[in-house]
Amino acid sequence: MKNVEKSHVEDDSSSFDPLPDDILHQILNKLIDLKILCSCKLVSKRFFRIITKVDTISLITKHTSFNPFLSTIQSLRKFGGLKSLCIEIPPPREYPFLFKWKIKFGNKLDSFICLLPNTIYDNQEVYVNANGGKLEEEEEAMELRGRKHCVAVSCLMTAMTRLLMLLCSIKNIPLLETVSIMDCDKRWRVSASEVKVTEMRNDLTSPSESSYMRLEFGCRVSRCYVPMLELPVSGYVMKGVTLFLFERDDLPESEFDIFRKTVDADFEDKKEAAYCEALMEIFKNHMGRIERLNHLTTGVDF
Amino acid sequence: MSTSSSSSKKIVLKSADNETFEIDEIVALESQAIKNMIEDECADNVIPLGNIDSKTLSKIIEYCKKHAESPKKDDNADIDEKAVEDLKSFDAEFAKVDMPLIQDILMAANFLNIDNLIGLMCRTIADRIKGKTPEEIRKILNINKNDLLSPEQEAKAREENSWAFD
Repeated sequence: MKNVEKSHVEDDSSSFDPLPDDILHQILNKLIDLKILCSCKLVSKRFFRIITKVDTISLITKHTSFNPFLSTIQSLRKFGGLKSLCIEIPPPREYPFLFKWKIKFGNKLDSFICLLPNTIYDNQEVYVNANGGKLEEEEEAMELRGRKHCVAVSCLMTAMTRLLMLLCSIKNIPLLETVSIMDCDKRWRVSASEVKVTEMRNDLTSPSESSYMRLEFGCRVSRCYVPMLELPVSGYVMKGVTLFLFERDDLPESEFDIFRKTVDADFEDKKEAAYCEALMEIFKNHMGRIERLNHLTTGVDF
Repeated sequence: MSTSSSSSKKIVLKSADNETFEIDEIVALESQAIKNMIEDECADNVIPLGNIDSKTLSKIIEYCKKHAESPKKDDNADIDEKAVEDLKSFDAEFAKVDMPLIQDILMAANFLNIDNLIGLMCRTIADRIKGKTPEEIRKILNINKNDLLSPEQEAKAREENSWAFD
């Protein structure tokens, strides 16, 4: 019996090798994870050759600073056919508030919205239980107000850094069509696909081939505080909700009207959906509470 | 539903080991290659498949039958979810075979040009080599020893890889 089995194995010794290259390409294309691809690269000469043609890669890096990020991106140039890239980087740091952001950009940042509720409740009942039965409106304490402002600005800086990383990826990988940069829970996500990537790429063509990049953002800052927000669709209740709007100041305010009112369709879960509903709710019913703050000019560079 | 009356036309496939399989034309049409042959009217009553053995061919026919019976995605935007689920679990079961057979099916599916089946087999292979070391992958796929990287090439490739692992 043993002999029979052995000869069977030898019989099949070359069953993988006759498969054509485009089949191997299809297989490798499904691996996606960079570490897995790198270890497949060592399998054989053929694997080594075909692996550079994969069109989708996803990778996790622990670097948030730019130089290691840039060298990662430059190493990806070996994958000459790369069209779709997803990079997971660590979340910036623990913030004392819950938040949700929304971002509009081309090759510059146009608008950044961030929503900071103090507390969120799954439903009305939980809210009432937690708040001693009353649905009351409280003003926001000055101290809290200041802290939230700092958090909002730091969220903005994170968003700008992510956007610059996105631009850097587009600049360095010639065939790239879709790119996302996010952290593990996908909350800090910045992404662009096809048409947008093409537009951004066209705007990027600079005379110098240097890797230096800078992103500047001069904006109007507005703030809106809603003490209590009831969300009929998701059922959630949010308490102490502050919304910060950063909008590019060389564009008319009307430019942002549609963006403000656009419903984000790609939320991850129920809570995300509630955040989106909260944004809509504020733009629909609480515009009167929006107050204009100072201008802000800031920049990030690599 | 109406398949039995409208597609009563039969096609006979003959494997490398001279076994014949009579199937409905609609099942055979899952193969783009056979479809082209029929459309170009260069298919006789019996289509010889000299490079596919009967074991592989009967698996492929099993797959094509199931997929020919199932409603096509582009036919109707709102096909019922159950049919989709059913086809998914069929595919999952279908792929539970040993690697040599997967490779034979893949080879044949490539020859017969059955896109879905190629995709399924590629996914299956990808799933089986995910997370494995190069040595394990060589074993799983039975890679020809003559195609290995030289020690120098391998050392260089490992060094290049290091950035992906930090």
